[in-house]
Amino acid sequence: MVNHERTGIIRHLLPPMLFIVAVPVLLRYLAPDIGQADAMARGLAGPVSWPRFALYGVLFCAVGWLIQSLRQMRREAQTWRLGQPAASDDETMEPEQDEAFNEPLIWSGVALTLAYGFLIPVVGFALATMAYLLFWLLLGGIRKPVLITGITVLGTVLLLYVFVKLALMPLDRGQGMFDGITVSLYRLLRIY
Amino acid sequence: MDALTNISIGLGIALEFYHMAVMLTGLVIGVVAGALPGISFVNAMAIALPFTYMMTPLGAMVFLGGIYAGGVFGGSISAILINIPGVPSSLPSCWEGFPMTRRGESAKALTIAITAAATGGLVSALVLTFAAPPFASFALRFDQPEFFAATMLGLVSIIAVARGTPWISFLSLFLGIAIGSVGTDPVYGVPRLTFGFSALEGGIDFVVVMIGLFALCEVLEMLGKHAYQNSDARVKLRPPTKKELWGLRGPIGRGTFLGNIIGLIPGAGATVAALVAYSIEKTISPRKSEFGTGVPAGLAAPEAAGNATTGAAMVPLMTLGIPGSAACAIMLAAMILHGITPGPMLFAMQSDMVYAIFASFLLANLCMIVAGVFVAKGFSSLLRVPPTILGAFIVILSVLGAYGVRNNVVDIYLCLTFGVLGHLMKRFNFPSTPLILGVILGPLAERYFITAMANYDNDLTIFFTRPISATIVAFTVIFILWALTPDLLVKYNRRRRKKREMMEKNLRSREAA
Repeated sequence: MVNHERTGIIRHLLPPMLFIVAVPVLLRYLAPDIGQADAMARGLAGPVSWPRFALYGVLFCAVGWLIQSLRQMRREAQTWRLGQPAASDDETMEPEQDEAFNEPLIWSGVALTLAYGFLIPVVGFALATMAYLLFWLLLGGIRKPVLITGITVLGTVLLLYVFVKLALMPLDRGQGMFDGITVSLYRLLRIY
Repeated sequence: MDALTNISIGLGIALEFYHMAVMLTGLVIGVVAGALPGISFVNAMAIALPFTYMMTPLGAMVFLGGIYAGGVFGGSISAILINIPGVPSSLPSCWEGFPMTRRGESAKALTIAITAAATGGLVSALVLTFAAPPFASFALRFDQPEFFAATMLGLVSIIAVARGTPWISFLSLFLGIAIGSVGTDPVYGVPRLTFGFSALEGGIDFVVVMIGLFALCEVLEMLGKHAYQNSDARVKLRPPTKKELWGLRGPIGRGTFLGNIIGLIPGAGATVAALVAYSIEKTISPRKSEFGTGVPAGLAAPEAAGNATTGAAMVPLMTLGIPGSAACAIMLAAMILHGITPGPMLFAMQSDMVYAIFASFLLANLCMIVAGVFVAKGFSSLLRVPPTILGAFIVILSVLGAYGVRNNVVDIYLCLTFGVLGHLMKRFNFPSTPLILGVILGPLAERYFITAMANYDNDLTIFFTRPISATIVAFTVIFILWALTPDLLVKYNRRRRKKREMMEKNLRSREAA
């Protein structure tokens, strides 16, 4: 298989195929006891009728998309043989090429943000936010220590005042010793 | 004439210092809460409800009305400036307003939004004043089939947003409906698509999905390409000219009309109105191919429509006690708390108070222009902050917004997951807007469908045999045909041209032979 054919298959066929494979699995595990859920249905409307309708809709559209992609691939293959550029098709899914993204930086940001989310229940909102701000600013290329410290500390304090003191949001304080540190911080800031 | 006399009396009461003070306070709270992602104005109304105990019944209604009027517009400020829709109805403002901000036209976008929202709100306040009494008898005919039909009209508006990618767009929409159906079903209590995770039994809130797909995704891109540098924003910061605003009278008028009609239907709300207004504007606009790149008409129409629902949604509340939206439900709660019973008798027994509420709604929409400008100015200064710093705070606000939905850390994980998903979707041109629409309107449609089926013996024809429902369904079909016709015509012409070229080619080769 030629390289361009392989990338064509991946680009055009893989996404709709993924949906076509996933939908039957989701339909199978729609409810803990699908038989019982179906038995509860009176006529058209049961507990699983609506999600089932949505999933059938996904399946139907995925099949339509696959057919569309196959047609597009056939057209591309023909034009490849003729040595002409392939005609563009509106209904294909192609990665954007027009803007230059720093992908490693984006994925580092994703990792940092996910880590932030998972750290909140462990170390508490205040400490996790402080750490997150610090690393995010470093990741974004800010190197001035005064600016980093100022934004990290003042930003966290401001957020704590607005959301904990004023909006009374019960934000996570963390577990074990982190809970104690957060409570001390709140007392220091006169939030508690 | 009766209504005019009553409204002048009401205006006198509404202009009293105490009522003006509580209305303005409510208005500012509403605009700020709407503009802050995560703290929606509905939450602000809910938080403010206990504080109304210390107010007079009229003061309480005026205060909450101020939050409501300001909040619907406030959501557009964050949508336009930082691509985070403060409320679901601000979604179209993200599509058209944020691209304008990226071009350095934030002041223009905000002025258009404020003008359109204030116009929509003012007209709807007038509708509330004059249409409330006659509507009382008409609205009694509305039932689940009508609500379902109205929601379906909102869902099919995706055709206009699909932009030549119908299969993928509809797949995205159905995926959104499936995501919206995750959790315990509203009638039978059966968990769906939870895969044994008890955390998912409460469902996936659309706010979480929306924040993830829009805000987080935007921040990640901001980090990757430092997209909107603020020097540009400073140079091009100019409001629209009077001529430009006058040129938008059509979209604003259409949006206002639609918003008033849709707002009168209980349950449809500002989101449906804004989306339908956007879709219609996109279908009829001569600049339809540019929609999504910052077209002022695409911003003005949904803004007007969203705010036009505020007064209109109060009509069924005041006349029948039917809350047309979550905000109206809180207003109803406040009425009950203060011993006010909504319904036709309210107009007969306490007409002074009713018309004072209407008048303060009118004033709130007028004052919203000033409040909106001040809050927007504060937010505009955000654009001067370097993208890295701004991005960090957007992520934190997003996380707080997701957490604030149910005070559950699982919502943070979901929000972050949708953020990553949103980035992948954007990279592969997979539209996220239909997905959002499915998540927002899917659960509503399901509830209306199930209750309609339960109430009408599983008779599907009920949607076509009831006059109002049938009219809305007819509008839906007309809308689909209207939206699809240009695309189908283009395809048909292309096919015919290809056929003709093929025939000419064959003819030439035969002649050559």
